[in-house]
Amino acid sequence: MATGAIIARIITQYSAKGSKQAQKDITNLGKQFDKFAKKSALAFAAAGAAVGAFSIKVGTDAVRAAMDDQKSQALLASTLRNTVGATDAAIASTEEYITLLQKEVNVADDELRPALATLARATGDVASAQSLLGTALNISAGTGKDLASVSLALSKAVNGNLGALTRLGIPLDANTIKSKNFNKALDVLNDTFKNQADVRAKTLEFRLKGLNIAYGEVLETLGYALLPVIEQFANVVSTKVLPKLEEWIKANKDDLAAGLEKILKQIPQLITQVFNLFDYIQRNLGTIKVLSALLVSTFAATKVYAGVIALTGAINILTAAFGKQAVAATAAGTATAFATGGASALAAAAAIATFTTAALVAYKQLNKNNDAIDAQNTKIRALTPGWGNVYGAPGVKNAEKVVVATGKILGNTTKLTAEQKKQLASQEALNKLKAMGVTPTSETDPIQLEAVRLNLLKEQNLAQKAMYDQLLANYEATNRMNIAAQRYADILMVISDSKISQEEVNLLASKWNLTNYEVVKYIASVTGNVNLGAGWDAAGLAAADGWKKALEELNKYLEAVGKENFIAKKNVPAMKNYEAIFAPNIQQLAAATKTILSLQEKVANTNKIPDTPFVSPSVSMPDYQAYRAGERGDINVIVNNAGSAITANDLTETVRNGILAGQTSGRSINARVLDL
Amino acid sequence: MADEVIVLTGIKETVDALKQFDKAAARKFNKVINDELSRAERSADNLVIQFTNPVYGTPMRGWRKTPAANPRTRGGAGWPAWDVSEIQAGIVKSRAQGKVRGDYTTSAGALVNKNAAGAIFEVAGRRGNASRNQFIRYLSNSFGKASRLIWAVVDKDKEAIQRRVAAALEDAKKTLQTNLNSRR
Repeated sequence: MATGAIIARIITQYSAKGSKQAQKDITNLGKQFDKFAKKSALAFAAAGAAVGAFSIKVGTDAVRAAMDDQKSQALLASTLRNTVGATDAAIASTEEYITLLQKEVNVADDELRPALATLARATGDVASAQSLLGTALNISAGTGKDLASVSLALSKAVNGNLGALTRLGIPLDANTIKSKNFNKALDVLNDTFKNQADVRAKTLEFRLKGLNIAYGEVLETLGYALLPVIEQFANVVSTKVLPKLEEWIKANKDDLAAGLEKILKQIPQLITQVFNLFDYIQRNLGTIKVLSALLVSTFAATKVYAGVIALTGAINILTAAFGKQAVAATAAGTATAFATGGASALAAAAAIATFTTAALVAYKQLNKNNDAIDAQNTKIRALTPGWGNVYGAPGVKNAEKVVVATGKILGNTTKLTAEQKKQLASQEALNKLKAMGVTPTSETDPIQLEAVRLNLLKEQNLAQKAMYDQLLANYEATNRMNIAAQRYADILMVISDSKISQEEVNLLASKWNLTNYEVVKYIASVTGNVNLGAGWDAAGLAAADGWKKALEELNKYLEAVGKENFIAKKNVPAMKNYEAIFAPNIQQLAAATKTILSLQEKVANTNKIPDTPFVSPSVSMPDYQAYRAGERGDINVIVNNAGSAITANDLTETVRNGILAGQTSGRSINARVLDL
Repeated sequence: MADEVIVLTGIKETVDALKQFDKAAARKFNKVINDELSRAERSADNLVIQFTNPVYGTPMRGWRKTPAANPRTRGGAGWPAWDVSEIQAGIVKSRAQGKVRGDYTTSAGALVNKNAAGAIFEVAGRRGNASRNQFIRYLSNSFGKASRLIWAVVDKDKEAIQRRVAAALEDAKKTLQTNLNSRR
């Protein structure tokens, strides 16, 4: 369409393309709404929570404000009634005045009411008190003193004590004070602090306070609405809940007291027991001190320590107090007994005995070594003069030192070597046990450990064998059960028509890897139906059984009549003179056998022919013909060669053609012919 | 321009379906639309003749009849000449759907004014303060406000055309429904 062409649409149609876009737009819009809704929900949830919390706070503040306000009103009303004999109407009017004054000067009614009450008590008149309250507000605004103090000072001044005003810092000349003329002083004060309250009320600070007061008023209004509900709740608590609670306590006070007494008794006993335990350890610490040095060096020490710590952990109340004693007791076999129980106590005793023995052995070995060293030293000392001759006196001294040092070294080395060997042996045995998954607790004798290992090995093998046998038996039983279940399912399928065919028996026999007879017997044993189990040969078996029973009855009868039992003849046909019948056939067979044997002999000779090259253009093959004729019986092949056979192939071709010409059975001639 | 727009639904679908079942009915419906558009096209062509002063051969005396030999604007062809036959040839009917509007409608039949002189005559003074331009002022005084050719025809005949097309569409739908019912 040309650029700038004017188009005037006449016929307008709805566009599905547009609607699809519209649907897409609407879908997107919906998604946007969903997102917005989710975000909004979260935001509203947060806002709701905040509002909830704020509501609770507002509600609490409102009730509290209302209660305070109510209390303040009640105090003022009471004061006015008592001092000036104010009526309810006057009190209500005063409340209105307080409310208006509060808004005007931005001072809370909770401050105005006590001040007004104070002034009312001093003046005995509500109107005068209200007038003085205005002065007090101005003085408070001008001096910065709180309204209560100023009101109190004014109330004293009303009674002639003008000095109370000066003590607040309110300036009054001495003459006025001396005159004790309150009205004169009041004039001075009104002139001095004129409109101070109004000015203060218009400051930002008091405007904000005004807002706060207004909010407080709202809270009070709300609180007054909530107060009845709170009162009702308090009433319910005081009239229903508390009496029930009191009643319950009365009914159960003895049990409660007894329970508390029991607890109080149990705690000291527990503490005493635990204290006794560690006291015992502490008292016996000296007795077992000798053995503790040995135990500390063993791996068992760690376990002992852990056991004591575990015990102290369980009694965590006393851990801090007895911690040091527990650590000290870790080296003690007695502590082991306490920490690990009876079995471990025995193990600990065994360990102690073992190490005692080891210490004695080591001691004896050490003595032997010392004796040997002493003997060596004696010998060396015997040679000392010789040293002296060679090296002089210093040389002798040095030689003695050398002897002593050598002796020490020798002793230590011997001791160390013995200990190392013992340790290595123990470690080796331990490693073997660890490899078997066994961690010894106290035994360190390598011989004992090896014995234990061998014993465990033996037990372990037996256990493994027993476990293996059990597993195998379990596997076989499971397998048998599976097979039986499968066969049972097969049987149910097969006998669904209340009979078993021969094909079904064959099929089951193939599937179960059984014979047909075994299948039938198996079915009979499972189903309990002998006839069904007999299946396909049921009729024959039934007849056989019937015959046997009949025979038994017959023989019984024969025995009863004194005759011999009937013995059935075997089911074998009677022999006839078959030789006479088949004599001609036998003779023919013998002749044929003879012929075959002779032919076989000839064939054996004929088979040598192909090995000899054919040189003659005319070959007669009577033997071959005879052989073939004998083999086939009814084929005679005559091969005539007119002198055209030059090579072996020519001869083969000739023979083949001859065979083909003589073959009249219609069968195909296979490749054997070409192998001639 | 007409304030109300009749939106026809299923024109394309009906015609496509009718082409399969009843080609004669499809041709009949298409003929209705084409006839209506041709009639509107002829009306617009007549307006071109009507607005051409027989003395000057143009709507106004100063409107040149031959293309400007020396274009006054860079790359432009100058003020387009008024040639009745050219303008008439530029007014054609169209059944192109065009763009889909915001109200999800497309065109099923429209008149197009392709000629530049015809387009100027059509819409000159549609926007802006026409009274300041002497050409537009004269044009408006002599031939009325903008929408002077094809839009004038459309404004005048659109409603009737739409009703006739709508009636034809309903007939086509009925024919299609009859065919569909017979093939159940």
